[in-house]
Parts: sequence; structure tokens; C-alpha cells
Amino acid sequence: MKSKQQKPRRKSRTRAEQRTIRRNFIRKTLSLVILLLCIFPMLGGGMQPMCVIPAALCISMNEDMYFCMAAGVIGGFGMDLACGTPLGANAIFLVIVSCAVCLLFEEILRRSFLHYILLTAAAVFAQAGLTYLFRTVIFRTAGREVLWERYLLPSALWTLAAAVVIWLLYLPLSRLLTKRVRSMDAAAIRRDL
Amino acid sequence: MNLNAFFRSTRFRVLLCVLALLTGIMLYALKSGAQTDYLTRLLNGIISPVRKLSSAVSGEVNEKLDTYFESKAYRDENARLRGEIARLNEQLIGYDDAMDELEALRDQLGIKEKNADFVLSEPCKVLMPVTNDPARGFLIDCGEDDGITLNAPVICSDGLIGVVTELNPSYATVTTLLSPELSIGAVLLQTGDSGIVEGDLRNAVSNQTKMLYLDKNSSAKEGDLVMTAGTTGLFPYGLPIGNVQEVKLEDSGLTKYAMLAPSVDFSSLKSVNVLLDFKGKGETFGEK
Repeated sequence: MKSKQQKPRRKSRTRAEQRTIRRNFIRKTLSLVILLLCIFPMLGGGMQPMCVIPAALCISMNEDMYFCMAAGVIGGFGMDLACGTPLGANAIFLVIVSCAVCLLFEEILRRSFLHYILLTAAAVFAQAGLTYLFRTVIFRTAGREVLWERYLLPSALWTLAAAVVIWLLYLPLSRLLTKRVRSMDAAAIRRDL
Repeated sequence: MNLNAFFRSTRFRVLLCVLALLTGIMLYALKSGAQTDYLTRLLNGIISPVRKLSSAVSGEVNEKLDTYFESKAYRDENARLRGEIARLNEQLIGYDDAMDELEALRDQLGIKEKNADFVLSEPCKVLMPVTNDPARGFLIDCGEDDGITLNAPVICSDGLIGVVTELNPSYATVTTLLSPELSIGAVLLQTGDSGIVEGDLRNAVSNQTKMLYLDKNSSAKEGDLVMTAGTTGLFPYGLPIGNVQEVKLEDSGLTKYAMLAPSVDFSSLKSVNVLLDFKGKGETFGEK
């Protein structure tokens, strides 16, 4: 008679692992709160900075790709609702940008303010350019430069200014609540030696 | 960077799925057009209170910032207004005559009698301007549930404001006559010349719009009143649009155009009415 095979019992988590999970959860929740707070001013109407873009980029610098996608979708939907664009248009843009930035920081770039602000500038101007293109250029709207000069360009510049504030908001969050991989690796190497 | 590994990974597949889903949502939203899709309605319903709060906060902050940044402009405007008051005081002497003339013109036109056929909505509150819209489009707190229909004219006591271009159950988006998206058949009261009033983003910034295709021999002059022609069935006849500021010949030399100052002050709108029905609605000129 075959003995009934027992499922291997799930290994209980160590205290350090539990702490990491708790930290990750708090960090991700607070990241989402910051993202949602960034949607808030955009809903006010008039000329507004697109604060969601730097917030999504901040998240992409520190989180895994799945979370970046979620942040991109939420932030993108917020932008669509605020700007009256078809739902999903900005979400597609932000998901692609978030994932690309996430990959860049995973593989090539070091997490620094300079890299962050350069990528934010690129993303913000790309978004403004695409809005300009899809709202006026392809329809050959007369006086379209007004949209660029008086709304999209100031909005992009304000977004860049807001990006600094968002970085300052996000920096302590990521520093306090991210597991310091580098120092732990160094400790492990020292232990192995 | 090993891109091959990324393209083969689950992450990339999930990303493709998310993008496909978003594209589907966007195409569905685009297909729904002005009649907003259910997902947008749902999300708008959820964020509606946040939108109101944000608009209030934003307005308050803008007002405060405006006080600091625009103080020089306010000082200049104050000086200009003082001059204006002095000039108006001088003109007060002729005020009674002007009032009589105005009354006579009103009687002549019979605007009041013609407006008896108007079916108006309840007064709609202006919620907030559309983000990044030079043509000063705005949202109103009346929607489908209040009997408002798409393309319904939006008016106030001063004249035509624009049309409803996007509908939700509880609110609607109004595109103003400053927008290039709107073309209105118009007629000059004094000369009877007809043309098309069409916005332009460049002019929208200076709160002006344009009347195109005026006859080359038109005698339109500064101050003439432009009103809706009522030939398309979209607008009733005789709604004031604006006053002529200047008349110029087009570059082609075939027609003239007039720059108009809209009758309505878009910056101070608090409440508007949507014109639900009027005599001749939906009837084009030839059908009458």
C-alpha cells in the first residue's frame, strides 16, 4: 500500500523576510498614495502640470515591472480623465514609459537625480509632443502654436519643476523602505570569505 | 543588457497583454465618441467629488498666486479702468438717448417674441474649465439625466456660448464658439450679410473669433452685431454671437472676414442655460 504523500510544508518565513515583505507593502502603498495625490491637481482644470509622469518614473526607478505597469495604468487613466483624451491613450504611453524606465534602471542606469530628471524631461516633452500632434497637427488646426506655447510648454515646464518636489517626496520613502541589497551582498561576501 | 531574455520573459508577455487591453479600451472609448463609454462614465462618477474638490482648491491657489504674480497687470488695469470710468461718466449724459435707441432696436427685432418658443434647461452651474484648452471649453453640472442632448446650444442672457459636445449622465462638456471645432452660420444684423463664424486657437487666446466668407462688397463695419442665421436647424435665428471689431479682405481677395468680440464674457461665466428645443430645430433652410 502506497503511503500517502504529504505535501511539503511551507517553510515559515524568517523575521527578516517578514520585515522585508512588510516594508515592501508599506512602500508600495505609499507610492500609490503619492501617485494618486499627483492626479488630484490635474483634475482642477485650466493649465496644469502633469505630475503623474514624474511620479510614475519615480516608482519605475525603484519597483518591479509589474508594479510599474499598474502605476502606469492608474496614472495614465488619471491623465485621460483630467485631459479629456480617450480613455487608455495616455495609459498606453505611461505604461510603455514606466516599463522602459524600469528596464533602464534595472540594466544600465544608476539611480541618480540627474538620470531621473533627464528621463522625466524626455517623457514629459514626448507626452506634450504627442498631445500636440494628435490634437492639432494631424487636423491642421489653425493657430495650433497657441496650444503649444501657452499650454503644453508651460505645463511641461511646471511638470519638470514639480518633478523635483516629487523626487524629494519619494526619496526618503525609497531610502527608508528599500532593502539595502548592496550592503547585504557585501556582508554576505565578507561572511563567505 | 540582455534584451533577448527580456523579450522571452513572462514580464514582456504580461506587458503585451496590458498594452493590448489598453488599446482595446482606447478603441472602445474612441468608438463611443462624444457619448462617453461606460468605463469612462464609471471612472468619472468615482472621481466626480474629487474633481470638484480639486477644482475648488486649484481655483483658490490660482487666485492667491495671481495676486502676487499679476500685481503689475492689476495696477495697470486699475489705471485703465479709472480712465474708463471717467469716460463713461461723460457718456452718461447721452445714456437716456442710448437706452431709448436700444429699446427701439429691441422692439424692431422682436427678439423677445421670437424667444417665446425656447425650451430651456434648468440653470446649469459651470463646474470647471477643460484642462489645457485655449478655446475655454468647460464642464457644466447638467447632463443626460437633465434632458440635455448632444449638440444642444448653450446660451446665457448675453448670447450664444457654444454647444454640448460630450455627454455624461450628470455633467456635460461645452465647446465654446472660440473653438476651431465649431462652425456657426451667422448673419450681420445691420447689413444682412451672411458668413460662417469659426474659432481659431490664436484668436481664442485674445478672446476673439472670426466671421468668414463675407461678401467682398460687404459694408460690415466696427460695432455691427453678428447673430445666428438659424439656417442649419442647430441654432435658432437671432442669438447674439458678438460684435465686429474689424473687417479685412482675405489674402485670396475673394472674400472678407471680420474679427468678432464675443457677446459673452467666458471668463466670468457662473451659470448657463442649455437650449433644449426651439422652433425650427433640426430643419435646414430648404426644408422649411
